[in-house]
Amino acid sequence: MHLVVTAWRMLVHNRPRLLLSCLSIAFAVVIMFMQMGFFNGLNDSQANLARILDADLVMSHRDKDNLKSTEEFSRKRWRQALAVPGVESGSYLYASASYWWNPQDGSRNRLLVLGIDPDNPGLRLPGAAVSLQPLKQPGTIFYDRRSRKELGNVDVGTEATLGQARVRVAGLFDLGANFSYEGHVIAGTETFFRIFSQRDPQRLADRISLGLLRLQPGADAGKVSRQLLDALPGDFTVMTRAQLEAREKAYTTRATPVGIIFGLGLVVALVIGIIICHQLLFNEIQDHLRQFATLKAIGYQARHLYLIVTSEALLLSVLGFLPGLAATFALYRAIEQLSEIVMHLSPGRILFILFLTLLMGAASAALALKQVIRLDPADLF
Amino acid sequence: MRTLLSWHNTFHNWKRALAATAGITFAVLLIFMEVGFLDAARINAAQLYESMEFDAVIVSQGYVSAQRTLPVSAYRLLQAGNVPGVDATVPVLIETARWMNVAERRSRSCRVIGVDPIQSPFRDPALTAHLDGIQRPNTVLVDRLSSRKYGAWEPGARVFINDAPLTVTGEFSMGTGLISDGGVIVSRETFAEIAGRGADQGYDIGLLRLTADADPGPVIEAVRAALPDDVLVLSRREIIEREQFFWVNLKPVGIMFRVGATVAFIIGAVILYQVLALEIGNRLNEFATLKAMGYAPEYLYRIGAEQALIYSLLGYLPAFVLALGLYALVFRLSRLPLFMDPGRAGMVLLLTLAMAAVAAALALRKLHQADPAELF
Repeated sequence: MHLVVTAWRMLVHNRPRLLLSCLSIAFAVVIMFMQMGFFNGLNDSQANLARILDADLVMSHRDKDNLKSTEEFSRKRWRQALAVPGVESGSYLYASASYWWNPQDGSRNRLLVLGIDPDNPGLRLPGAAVSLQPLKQPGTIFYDRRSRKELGNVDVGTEATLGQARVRVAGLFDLGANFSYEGHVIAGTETFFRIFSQRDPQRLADRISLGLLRLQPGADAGKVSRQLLDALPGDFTVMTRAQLEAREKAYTTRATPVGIIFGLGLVVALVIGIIICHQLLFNEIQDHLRQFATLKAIGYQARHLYLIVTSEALLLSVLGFLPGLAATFALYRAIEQLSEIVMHLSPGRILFILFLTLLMGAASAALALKQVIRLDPADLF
Repeated sequence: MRTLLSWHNTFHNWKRALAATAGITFAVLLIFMEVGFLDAARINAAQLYESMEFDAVIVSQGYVSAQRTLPVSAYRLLQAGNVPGVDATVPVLIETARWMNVAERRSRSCRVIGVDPIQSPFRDPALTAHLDGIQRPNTVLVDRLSSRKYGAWEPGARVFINDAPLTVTGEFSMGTGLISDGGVIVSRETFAEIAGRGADQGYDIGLLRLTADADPGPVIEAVRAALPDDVLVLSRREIIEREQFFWVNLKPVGIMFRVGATVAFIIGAVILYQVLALEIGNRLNEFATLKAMGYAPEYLYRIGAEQALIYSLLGYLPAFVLALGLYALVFRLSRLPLFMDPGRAGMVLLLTLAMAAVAAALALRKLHQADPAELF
């Protein structure tokens, strides 16, 4: 323990330099947070739809491998599913891409229209009025407040052209644009059919995007899933909401190069961090050569000295991590304001970067090992 | 002689110089990566238009991007063709369809470009020569750069797009943009077969080619005036910029790489500052001696600035080489069009020098502490 105290004293001996060292490490930490943040941000934004579904089990077309794609299946199948033991209730969700004409400048943008039964919506909307009842009135929609600003200034009461219909905004909710869609709206089924009135009405009414099932208390999701698949024709798949959300996030990583881009960025950032930390440590040791040599002369072993150096490295890492984390909070918020990327910090993500920062410190300490072992008191005096 | 001193100072402790250079190298490498990714998105967005020969385009007022637009009636192209200075109008059809990977029994998204084989919209003469092959109905040229998810195909093979059976007559290289997994080129008749809509319902993009002696600005203005505002008339540059704006700014690609590059720049400057400050701190006595010998302060500053220059250039060179390797790696893994071009190499070099300037300006303030009186 006293070795750690020694390390601490050596560090704080030159305060201006300690400050600068912490700043450098903080920057390396910020880069790592940014790379991870963008990676997660893209995945989270792409997966946002999965989070608002109010369901224990979700049915979808067998080939539908992500919620942005357009495969649909028959509503009949969903109705049959309601009769399977263990299923308590359910909702259905229509979803299709349409075009929104900006009410101010007349430009056009693509968004996702969700069609629901207002009496039984099956959605849990953050930031929305409790009730989706206003959607019962044909020609009204709820508008995603966090749609891209290119869609125009939209508030309750705004009228605009959406697909084949003229619609009026009756309420707002928070979901967020993503890479596939510049925004979202929710419509009652009646309005949904109007927006897509160019399509065959019978087919339009029959084909739903998702079937949402809620289970009886105590029912086992896995068992009910198997029963559903056994009892009904196999043109659909079923999964729990958690599975669906995990698949949505993984889909982006698999289908796009975000993993490569930001993974590579993270590795380069880590290397920068190691080099910086090594440099700081190198100078630290260089300046305290006399102290180290003295310790050696009074009987400290090389591994004691090494412990001191490692402690110094880890202390520096933690001291740099804290301001880095603080700066990250501010930067994440600024980026969320400037773009619609969700920059979310969870404890797990913070711990991950803390782990990388400590790894950085440990690696740089290992690089400095030779410098300490070579120390010879006889050279000094 | 002067250069020698800064050079000597830098390499006096070559191990430290190596560590310092490595830090700067990786900061510059990170800038190369971020800027490269940003450019890749821009190149991807512009690829389709860059491959075609035109001076201006007519697209719908509801144009979002090339694959998300509304048709423009053939009559608008006729009207534009009558404006003096317009040499020819070339219609192009575009649709996003589904390519069936038969082996996997899965469909993949596919950009279908419908053209008149007699009137090629493309710049590449090799591609134009290939268009002869798609004059027969239900034949198709496939983009060699299509995703591996397309499965195997070769000339002569039968493929299915939107369930229509088609015969592959050749290949081309364009790159498939950011929406689709791959792309094909077909005749207008085959396009109608695949997309369920033909030229009678209008074109997605009307290319305008101007006569050789025409002044583009006024002619485009005249076309704009001649057509009602259900269409947009944009110059070559404007349509490419619009497409890039859509992909880089509207889709949140740009901000990520700009933030990344900015943070990398700052950290490079911080590293360099630290190296220089330490260097100057260690040599304060030597600098004071030089001062005492009568060297002007400017001389000392010059030595410091030269050192900043040496470090930054030494960091830049390996970063450049490493970037070449990483670009090739990313291209192989993801097919992002990531290549080194002289413009980017130059821009990053400028950023590196700016980094050195910032670091030097901050670190050299220490030099005035070099006081001969305190030497002894």
